[in-house]
Amino acid sequence: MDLALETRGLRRTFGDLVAVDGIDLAVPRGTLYGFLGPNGAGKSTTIKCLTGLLRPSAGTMRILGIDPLQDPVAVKRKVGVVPEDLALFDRLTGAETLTFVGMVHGLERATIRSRSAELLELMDLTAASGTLVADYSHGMRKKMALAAALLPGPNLLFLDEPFEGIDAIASRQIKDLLHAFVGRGGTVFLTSHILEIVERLCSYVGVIDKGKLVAQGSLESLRAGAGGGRTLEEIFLQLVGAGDERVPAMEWLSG
Amino acid sequence: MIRTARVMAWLRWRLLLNLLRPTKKRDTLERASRALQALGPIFLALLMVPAVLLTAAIGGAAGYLLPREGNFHQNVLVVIRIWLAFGMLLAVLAPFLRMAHGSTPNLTRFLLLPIPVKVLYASEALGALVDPWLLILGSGSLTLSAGMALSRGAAAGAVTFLGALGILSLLSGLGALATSLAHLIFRNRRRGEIASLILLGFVALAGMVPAFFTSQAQRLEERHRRTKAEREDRPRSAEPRPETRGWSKESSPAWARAYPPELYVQTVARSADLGAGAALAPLAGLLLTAGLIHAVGAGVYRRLLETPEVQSPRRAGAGRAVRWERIPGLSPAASAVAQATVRLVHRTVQGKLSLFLMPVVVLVMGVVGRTLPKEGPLATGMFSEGVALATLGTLFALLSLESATLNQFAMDRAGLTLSFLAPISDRDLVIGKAAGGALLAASRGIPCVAVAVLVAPGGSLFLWLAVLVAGAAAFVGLAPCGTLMSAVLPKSMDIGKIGQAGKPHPIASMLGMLVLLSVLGPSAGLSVLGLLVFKSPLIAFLLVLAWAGVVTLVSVLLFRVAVRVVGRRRENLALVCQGR
Repeated sequence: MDLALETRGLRRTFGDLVAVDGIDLAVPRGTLYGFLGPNGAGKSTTIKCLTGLLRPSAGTMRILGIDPLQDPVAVKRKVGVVPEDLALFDRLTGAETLTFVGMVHGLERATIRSRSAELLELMDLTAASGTLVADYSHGMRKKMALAAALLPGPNLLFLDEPFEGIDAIASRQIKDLLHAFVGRGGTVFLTSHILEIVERLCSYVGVIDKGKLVAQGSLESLRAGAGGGRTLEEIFLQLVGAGDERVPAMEWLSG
Repeated sequence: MIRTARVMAWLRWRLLLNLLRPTKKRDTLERASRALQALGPIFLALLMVPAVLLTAAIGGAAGYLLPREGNFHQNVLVVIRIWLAFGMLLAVLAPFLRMAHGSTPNLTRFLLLPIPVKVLYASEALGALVDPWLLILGSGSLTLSAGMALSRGAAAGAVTFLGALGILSLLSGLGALATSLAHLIFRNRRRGEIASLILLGFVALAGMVPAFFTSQAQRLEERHRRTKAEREDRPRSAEPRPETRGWSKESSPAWARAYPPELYVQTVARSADLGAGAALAPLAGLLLTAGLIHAVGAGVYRRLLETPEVQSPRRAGAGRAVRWERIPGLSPAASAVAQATVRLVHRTVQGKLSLFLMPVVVLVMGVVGRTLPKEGPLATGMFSEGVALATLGTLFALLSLESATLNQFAMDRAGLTLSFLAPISDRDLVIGKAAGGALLAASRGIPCVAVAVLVAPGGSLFLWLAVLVAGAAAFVGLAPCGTLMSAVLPKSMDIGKIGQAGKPHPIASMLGMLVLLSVLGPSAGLSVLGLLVFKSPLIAFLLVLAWAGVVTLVSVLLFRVAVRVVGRRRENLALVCQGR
């Protein structure tokens, strides 16, 4: 299988805390890969290791055939990232943010201008292109971060919770965009807590719990492994051992 | 009400204590420096105790002595007026300054609690009473009424006591009103920044007012000498006798008596001079004014709470083409980093202030300097010399780069993550940041020098050039050190804020100042050497130029080290920018 992303024994510790505990990811090219896990399971730490924001404590990685630890700049030329904190300059306007990204990637001015116009139009941000990002709403910032990630024309997209805090219209547009991106051979690695979206959008899924990769594969293979006919939510709850937990009675919550 | 006040007091106390708790910041150095920062307020609190006791003693003595005979009444009243003016100014300005510093309490959180708005307002107004200046002022005015009671009788004491309560209530009401207004203004980012700009510009220019008075100092001194001589020539019998009673009526012009603090002064003066009965009118006026201010304050507070999250509509700014040129000699990535840095800094209050205010300050100093004597103890007239003015302007420009050079990575906040995710090499990042700093230095320094040329042209061209070269050398020396300090001592900050929230790490600031002095010191020394020993501006310039060459060589070597250090500190920088 041609892999866009591959890790072997990827591990990251913070003092005594093991945030990511030797995971082996395998993301096939041209797929939408959903990376799931409960809060604090290690999803964001994994993405930060993969995108060069954190140095792994141990393990190896290959992204689009390149070792990011050996040649980080080469990897960054080929990937787009929407991180947890969206990574935007508060005091640049939307258009300036895209220009900055385009210039950093060495794109021609005309290319930057035309791609920016298309992306701003797509994200419904044309009217706000001259507004400082500091004045954007959360949803607008998220769309701007996605536009910045897409502008250089990456081969692989890392998206940390891309559907959180955006409206249904934008959500639909982003889903269509991601489908089109994958249709043209691109690869998407995304995390999300909205399992229904992942189930409808992603063809491959990885589940991380307490820093360990507890399942990975195509949705069909995961369903088959769980006995068939089960939703992703049921499979997920079963994998992370959360399905049987009972809510305490708390009779004082009488309403 | 008491339960709410107790909870609010507990909240203030916990917030104060939690300032001292160790944070998750990973650098031991940073933890130590944060602890030192937290000790500052404790020392200030300890200093408050003697200040309150001293003011109480002075107030008691003034209250006791005022009703007695003597010719010091007016002096005591002047001191009270100055104190009150100071208290009133602080009550009004402090909330705005606090807000401009970035301290914005979460009003919505209070609103969600089951506390009536009236009680919330009362706790806000009462909370203003524990502001240091009101505590000091309060201690003095309360003991003044005790002194008055001892000296003039219980009724006068009671009236001045009510007056003290009135003026404290008035000032706390003004404080609460100013706080609410500051909230209304600062909850909108743009409006808040404009307000900060006006406020800081006002404070900075107000700080220069003494310079105007200094120019008149000699004239006043001369007049004083003449008056004294005339008085000494006059026969002794002509001197007026000290006043006995009725002095309070002449203590202020009629138009000033409506001014709220003056109502308190009149209450005190009339109680001491004519007795409690005569002070009832100003006391009533004072209490009425205090009540009025609280009524307005409560109204504004209610309005604020009714719309806690209202924002003004976003500015639509579509359609403008982005002017973003590639800087010659830099890679596209370094060029992008440099221009982003310049834009980010110039879009902040500090950035705009540095850009527009510094040439104004140089201009004012140049104009004031012309009126000053060229010799003697007030020989500040040297600033009328254009070269000295240009030196001053260059120094201002370098000092104003503190945040942009000494915390150049963390000041980008989330934007730094964008740079780290982009294909920018460590070298390009460092060079881009240094180039951005150089553009900022030039954009601030050159207008100052231009103003100096306009205000005081003349002098040797070589000396003008020496100033420019020395300034450039200082930046070249500071830049790699700033990069190193920004990488080793990053501090999460918002360059849009003034005060500590918008300042780099204190240790970095200190070291940055040392670096600046160690580069500028030799430049100044060599200039003096060229002028005094060789008597030649050309030699002075050549010596400074040679020193600049040495600094540049060292700087190039330091930049190589800085690039490696930044590469190793990327992870830590990213964490600091995410507020970890």
